[in-house]
Amino acid sequence: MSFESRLTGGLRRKKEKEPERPDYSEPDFSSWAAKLDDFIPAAKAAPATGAATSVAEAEVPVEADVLVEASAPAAVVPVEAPAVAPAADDRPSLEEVLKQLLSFDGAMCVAVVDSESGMILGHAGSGVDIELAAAGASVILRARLGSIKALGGEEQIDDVLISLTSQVQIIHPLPRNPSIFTYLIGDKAKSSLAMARYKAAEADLLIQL
Amino acid sequence: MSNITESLQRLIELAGARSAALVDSSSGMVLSHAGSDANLEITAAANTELVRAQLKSLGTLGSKDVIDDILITLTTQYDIVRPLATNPSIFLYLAMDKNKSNLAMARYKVAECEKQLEL
Repeated sequence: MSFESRLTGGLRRKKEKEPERPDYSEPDFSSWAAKLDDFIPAAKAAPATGAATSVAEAEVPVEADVLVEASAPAAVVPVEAPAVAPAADDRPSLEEVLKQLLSFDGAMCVAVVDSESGMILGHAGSGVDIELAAAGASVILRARLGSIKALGGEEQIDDVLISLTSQVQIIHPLPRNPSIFTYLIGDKAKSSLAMARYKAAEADLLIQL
Repeated sequence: MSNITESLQRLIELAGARSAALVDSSSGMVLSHAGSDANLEITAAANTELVRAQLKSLGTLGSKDVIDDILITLTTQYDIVRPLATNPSIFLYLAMDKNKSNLAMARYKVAECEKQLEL
C-alpha cells in the first residue's frame, strides 16, 4: 500500500465517522423543551398524590431512552423535575414534621391531636400508649380552656408543660388552629423541658393541615 | 410550725409575680394567698380542674408517676402549679406577668418553696 492510499483511507474513515456523532444543533434541543412542558405539570402534582409521583417517575425512563441521543443539558433537566417539584410546593408532610418534633434529646413520643375529639391526627415514636395519653391531654386542655371561657376570659393557651416523675409532656395548641395541638412526651432524665418546648414552637410554622 | 404565709410572701416577691396561693384541689378552694389578683379564686378553680384532669389521665394510664409541676403559658401570664409532695391534693399556685418574669427562675423558686412548706 502506498503512503497516499493509506492517507486517503484514513481520511475516508474519518468522513464516515462524522455522521455517527450526536447532533448538538439547536432544533433538537428545542424539541426536547417542548416535551418538558408536557412533563412538568405531572411533576408539580406529585406532592399532592403519591400516584402522580410514580407517574412522573414512570415517564423518566421513557424519556431517558430517547434522551441518550440528545445533548447532556436536555438529558439532565427532565430527570431533575420530580426532585424539584416537592421543593417548589414547599410543604413538609405531617410525617416529616413529626420526625422533626421527635428530634430532641430524650424524645419518646410525639403526636398531633384534635382536642375536640381527643383523636390523633398523626404520631411518631413509641414507649407510651399515645392514643390514651393524647385523649387525656385533650381533656386537660379542654378543662383549662373551658375554665377560661366560663370566667369570661379571652386568654389563649400558648402551651402546657407537665413534669411527672419520669416524663415531661408538652401540650402546644397551634396558634392558627387552637383546637389542634402538638403533644410531645420525653423521658425526664434525658430531656430538657425547654428544648421540647422550643421544638414544639418550631413545628408551628411547618404544620399545615 | 406552719410557714405558709412566709412562703407565699417569698413567692410574691419574685419579679413579675401577680399572686401566689395554696389551693385544695379536692374542693378548688384557696387555703391561703398573697398578692392582689382579683381573679385568684377563679383561676385557682380553673387550675384545680387542670390538676384533676391530669391525675385522672395518670390513673387511666395506670401510671405510677406523680405530678411534679405544671406550667401553663397563657397570652399574658404564666401559671405555675405544683402539688405538694407531702399532700398531693394540695397545690402551690403562682401567677406571673409573662413579660416581666423568668419562668425558669420562678419554677425553681416554687419548687424550693414547696419543699420547705409546712402546713
